[in-house]
Amino acid sequence: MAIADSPGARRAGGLAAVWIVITALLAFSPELGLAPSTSRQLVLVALLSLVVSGLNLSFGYAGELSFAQPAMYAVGAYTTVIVAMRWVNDIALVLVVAAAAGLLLGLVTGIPGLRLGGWMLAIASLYLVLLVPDIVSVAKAWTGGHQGIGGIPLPQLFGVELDNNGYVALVVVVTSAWFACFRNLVKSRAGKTLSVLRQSPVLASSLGISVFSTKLKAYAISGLPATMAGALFAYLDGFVAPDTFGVELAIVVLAASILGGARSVYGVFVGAALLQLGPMQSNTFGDYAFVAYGVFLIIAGVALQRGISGLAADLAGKVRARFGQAVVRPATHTAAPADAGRITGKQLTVSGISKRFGGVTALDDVSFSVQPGEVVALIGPNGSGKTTLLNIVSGYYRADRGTVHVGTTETTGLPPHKIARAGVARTFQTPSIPAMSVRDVVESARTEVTRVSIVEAMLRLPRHRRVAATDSGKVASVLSTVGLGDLANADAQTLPLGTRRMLELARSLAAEPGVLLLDEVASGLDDDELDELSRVIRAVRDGGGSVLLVEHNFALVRALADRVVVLSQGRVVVVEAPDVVAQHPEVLEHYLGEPATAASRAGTGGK
Amino acid sequence: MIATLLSGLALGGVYTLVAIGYNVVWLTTRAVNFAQGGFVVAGMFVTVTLYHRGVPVALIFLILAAAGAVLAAVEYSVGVRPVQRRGDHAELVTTVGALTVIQGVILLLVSQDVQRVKSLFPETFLDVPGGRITPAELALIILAVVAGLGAHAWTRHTRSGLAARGVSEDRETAMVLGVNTTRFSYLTFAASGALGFAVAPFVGPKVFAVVAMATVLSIKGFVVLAVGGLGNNLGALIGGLGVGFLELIVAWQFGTAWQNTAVFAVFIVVMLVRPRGIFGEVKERTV
Repeated sequence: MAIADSPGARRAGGLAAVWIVITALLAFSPELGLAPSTSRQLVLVALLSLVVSGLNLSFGYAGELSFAQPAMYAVGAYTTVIVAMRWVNDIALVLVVAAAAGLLLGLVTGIPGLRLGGWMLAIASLYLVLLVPDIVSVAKAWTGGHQGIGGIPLPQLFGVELDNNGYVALVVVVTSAWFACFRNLVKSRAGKTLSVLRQSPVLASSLGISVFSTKLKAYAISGLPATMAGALFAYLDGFVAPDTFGVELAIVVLAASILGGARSVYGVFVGAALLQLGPMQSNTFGDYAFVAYGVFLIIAGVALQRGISGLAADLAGKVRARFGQAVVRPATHTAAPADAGRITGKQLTVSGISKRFGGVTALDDVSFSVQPGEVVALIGPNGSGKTTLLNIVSGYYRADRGTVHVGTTETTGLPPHKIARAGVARTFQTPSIPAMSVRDVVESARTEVTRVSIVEAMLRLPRHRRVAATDSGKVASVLSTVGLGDLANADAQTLPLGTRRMLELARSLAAEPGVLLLDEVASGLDDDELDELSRVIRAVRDGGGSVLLVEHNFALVRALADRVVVLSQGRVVVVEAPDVVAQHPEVLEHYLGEPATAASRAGTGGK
Repeated sequence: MIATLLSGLALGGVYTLVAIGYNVVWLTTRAVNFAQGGFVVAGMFVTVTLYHRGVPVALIFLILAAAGAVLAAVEYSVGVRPVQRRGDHAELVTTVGALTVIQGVILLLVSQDVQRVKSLFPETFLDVPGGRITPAELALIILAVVAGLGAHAWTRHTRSGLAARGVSEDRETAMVLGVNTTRFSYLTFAASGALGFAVAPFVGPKVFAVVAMATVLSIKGFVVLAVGGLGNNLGALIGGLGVGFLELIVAWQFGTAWQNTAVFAVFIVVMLVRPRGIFGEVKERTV
């Protein structure tokens, strides 16, 4: 495969070259004649950028607001105080210890905070900042207490003492290296996973993504840059005091993040530089600082959702549109070959499932199975328990009695993401499509099929590249299966309903599912779209997939299903071939609501 | 021992009063108003100023309630209502913004200094076993119990309280059933602001008026709710008194530097063991 020659790879190579040149220029800027006062500002902007990038990762990308950054910054600074003054003064060692301490603190506060998310994490992390002075004063012998501690030696790197120029270079290199990792992480599949998670936790879990552990990882990593920045900061003046790490810093960091764009990489530098070189410089501003930050947060929270980087992106889009490089967005999809390839279907076995909601029996002793290479339709009037059953199979509800097996694996009572990992993929009655491109929507289903660790993604290790190549092949193939090949770059949320349903189907197929659950996938489709849908479902079945189809459209059921399970008031009325079901007296009475003589109409009518 | 207990309950009463303010707003808007602690502290500075001018006590309470109601309603209309349905946690940012503005205004208009708020009651001490407490502290405990039980009764037994719980369960259904949710949200915000400001003369003598106290009260009030169960006023009362008591016991046994850490530890443990809080309810997820 000619991956090295692809435009994407060439762009990435160019970006890396620019990155290295800028890093080198800034690292050697004191030697190139930058005044010491200016290089001090450079260091301060770099340190604030590191801190803000952590907030962008947890708030912008993972969607959980945390105020913990000043506490992480303090952990780093006091790591330097303790390690460098009492043990070994080596900045590399200090950075490693600080990063480890940051990860640990992230895990300890993230586990309870993220269990409930939202307000809980925000408060738990703000509380952490409140504790900094208390803990510093309790550990006065080590930290110097409220008064602060001075006499931190000049930094040494592997036994060589760094002068001011060396220190500036080190700060620039560490900042640059972290931002390269940060950029690689959010531009990899992990970034798309976080985006899905932020927009719909229900969807994420149906794709096999564990909401909790993914957020926890992002949150724990988000503490790394702040602790490293803190470790570097302690060497700047050789003095550390707890009032540096207060609630005010948390507000500044939040303001910088929102100003630059919380969901951006390069916006961090803009936000950090504006705050560092603007308000944090002047003393006259000091009196008005709180009012100004507060007003900014209110305005930004209401109106400035994507920050300066968002405005820049919008502007770039307009310029491109005006000068004729607009992204092509065909309105609808094109027909395509109906080949889903080989699919390893698994048997779905539902046995004796019962479920009550309060006094209402939603499901009563329901049993049936779906074999590989078979389409089974689940029909019944509204309220008969179809959706409840689907939600039990995919883990959103717990059954009161009975078991569900996928292949030989029992999935009863497992959380949704584990059931998805066992091979169950589903679509939703109302298509759940996050705001991203069609290609990314499909690719998000690959997260748990081929796994890549965060470190591999950050450092662009061989496995990351291999998996990225496999993914892009698979995504292209399922998009062409459902006939959306031409729309890969389109904005998924702007697609019409029928196309969104096909996109959901493509996403389910990309997960290489053992069992495919389709929840009223045909509703709202026109005749052409119905044909297209039938073609794809047949292709999946012929490829060996197991399909469970919850459907109201009896004509479609008749055309597609090998067997039909009829539910009424939570009980299975009959399991038979569609033609037999169409003649079944009880079905006609309970479900089609017509006397037996009208049997012939059932085959052509809607419901 | 009894003195420590009562002193702790009085401190806890402060947290309960903040937590009830949170609850009232949470029920109708599903937002936590971070500025709630700021209301109480702002109320303290207003109280100090009005005492100096010799304004009668009854009028002070009226002014406080009116100022708090207007301020909170403005906060809702500017910072909360526009982002309410967006679902991206923007209220977290805007209400922290509101808290920051309140703190900034106090810094600009008054000072950074700690101010003492004169008690409404005789400034004497009552002897109890193990020490002594002030009448103001006793009043604070009584006020917290009355407010907690009153707010609880409001949500259980009155038409508007039941409607508020209805809105919190399902905003759309409540609208269909004829609840004017927007007006209701304004009213509950105004009520929480009035409550926050009007309790200041009681709270002031206990905690001192200082800007940084705003963040502390906002955090502690919320911790109380996390422990007691968000939206539950009985939880706010028992959680508040419990947290205050814990702080005093820890301070007494190990020193004041440990009291925040101890509360934090309890907060973390409750979230791990019983994430919905002691009186909280659980719901099954739906697709």
